[in-house]
Amino acid sequence: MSTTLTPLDFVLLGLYLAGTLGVGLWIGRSIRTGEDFFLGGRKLPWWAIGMSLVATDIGGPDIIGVGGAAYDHGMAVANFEWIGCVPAMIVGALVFIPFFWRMGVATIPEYLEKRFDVRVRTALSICWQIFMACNLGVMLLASARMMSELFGWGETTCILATAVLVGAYTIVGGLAAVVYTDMIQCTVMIAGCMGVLVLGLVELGGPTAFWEQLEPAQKALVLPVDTDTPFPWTGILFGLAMILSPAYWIGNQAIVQRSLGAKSAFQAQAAYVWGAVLKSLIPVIIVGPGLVAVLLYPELDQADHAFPQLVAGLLPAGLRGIFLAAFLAALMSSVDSYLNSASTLVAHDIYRRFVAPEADAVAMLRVGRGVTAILVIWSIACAMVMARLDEGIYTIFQTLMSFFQGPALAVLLAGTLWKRATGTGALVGFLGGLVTTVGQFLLNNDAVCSWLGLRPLFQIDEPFLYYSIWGFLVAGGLLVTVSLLTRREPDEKTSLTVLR
Amino acid sequence: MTSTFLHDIGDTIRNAMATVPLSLVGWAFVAIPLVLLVWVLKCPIGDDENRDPKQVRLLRIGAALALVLQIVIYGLL
Repeated sequence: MSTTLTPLDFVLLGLYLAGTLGVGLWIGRSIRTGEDFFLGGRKLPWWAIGMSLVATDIGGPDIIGVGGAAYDHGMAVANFEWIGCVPAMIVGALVFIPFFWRMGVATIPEYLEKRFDVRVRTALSICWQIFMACNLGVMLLASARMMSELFGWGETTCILATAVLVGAYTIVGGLAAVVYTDMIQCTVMIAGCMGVLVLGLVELGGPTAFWEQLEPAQKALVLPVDTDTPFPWTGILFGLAMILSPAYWIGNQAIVQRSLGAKSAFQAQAAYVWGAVLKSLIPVIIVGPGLVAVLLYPELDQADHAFPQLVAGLLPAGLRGIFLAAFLAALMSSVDSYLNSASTLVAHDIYRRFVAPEADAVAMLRVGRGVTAILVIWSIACAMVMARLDEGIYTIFQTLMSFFQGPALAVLLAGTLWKRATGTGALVGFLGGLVTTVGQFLLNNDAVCSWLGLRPLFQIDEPFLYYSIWGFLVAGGLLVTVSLLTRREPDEKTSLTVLR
Repeated sequence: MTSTFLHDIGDTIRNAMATVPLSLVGWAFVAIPLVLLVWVLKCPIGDDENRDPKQVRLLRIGAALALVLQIVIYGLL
């Protein structure tokens, strides 16, 4: 389903890419120290961080994938942006983010060492590093496949072009470049998707006609337990809203890091609140086109073709270039954030913690840029290897990588809210939660189940929301039990690291 | 295909959850932002650092706006 591009589309696309690269490189001129590179010199304003939060959260594959999920399952997918984001962002803004900001840490694992010990810091940091390193390859490959489909370019060309472009401004400009380019990308992304939605609604006779033509099931946000979609209300409420979403908005380094780079605690809080307001709009522009496609093109062979079909069928020359810029914007804003955050974790939690505790600000800048460059090369290699494997491999990879979110949230909540939680309790809880989620995944795998003669553990497809619930509960239970059985952490440690 | 005690636990929870009326669940989706809204309007923000009251007011208004949008969305759909 290649989309024909006119010279005007290429001009607009080229202007967008040149502008993004230019802004990123220009910001890079003022980067002098590690703190400038990793935290934007702690000078970032709330409005830029808020837009960057939203842009980072929506990747290129998300635009296509969420539109496709809406085509298949209706409005219920919007829960991921509404109840699956906004409540956690508001609680994060008012409780956790100012607390982490005042602690002066660069990474969430760094806080966990202050609160617990180096074992907990290292265990979580390594999980995040593995997650980010693999996710970079996954994001590049998934995006390259879609770019290849949209533009008709070769997959390898798409991987290399994206990695080199994003890598260049992230290596030079660090977090500040990531945040300011994300801001541009957020604007372009909203404008591009809004264009597709508006033209689709016009084609259908306006918003009222569109809404009236949808089936009741396509408009439902709350789906029953026995739904044949991956979004039963139990998973959405208990797994998404109560576990995955807080784990993401309070504990994901790629998200929290930009608020740690804010000018003040107030700016960090305001960024999250601004992001939460913007988040209310996102499903309208991403889920909406998927629903428009259901009515305009009900016979598509693959749901993921919904967005590309709308672009090919509705957008005139020029506007196609803007949408493709929006797609690239969404893709780049996620890759640059994960590059910068993975490099921050390696530089702070491994290099400075274990290799060179006395490393000065200039050395940290050198390490940050070097690690980012290595990660760019790694992500290219990873994407190319995955491209040769069966498609299911990287889908499973993504599921595997989401396993530690529930256990990590249990550790973070206990650390910030419960004075009696101990380092050993946190470590045992985290590892126990990981074993639980991996065990559940195996007991739900068709090959394993047929070998053991068992029926799959869950009755819905892709039960990742349920893994997170059980991972959180088991981690929390173990953490409480072991903490109560081990010696209390000294007051001088907990007095500053537990919320009052 | 046999079951283990894990399957039994899952089936029990699943059957119990299936008895909850969807309309009640719909109200729970409205209640979450509603409860948070009340908390946002009442909770102490930055009291420990004598923060500028204007900043506190702006945070409350912004957070309340985001939550009201959620209440409207889940209330209407």
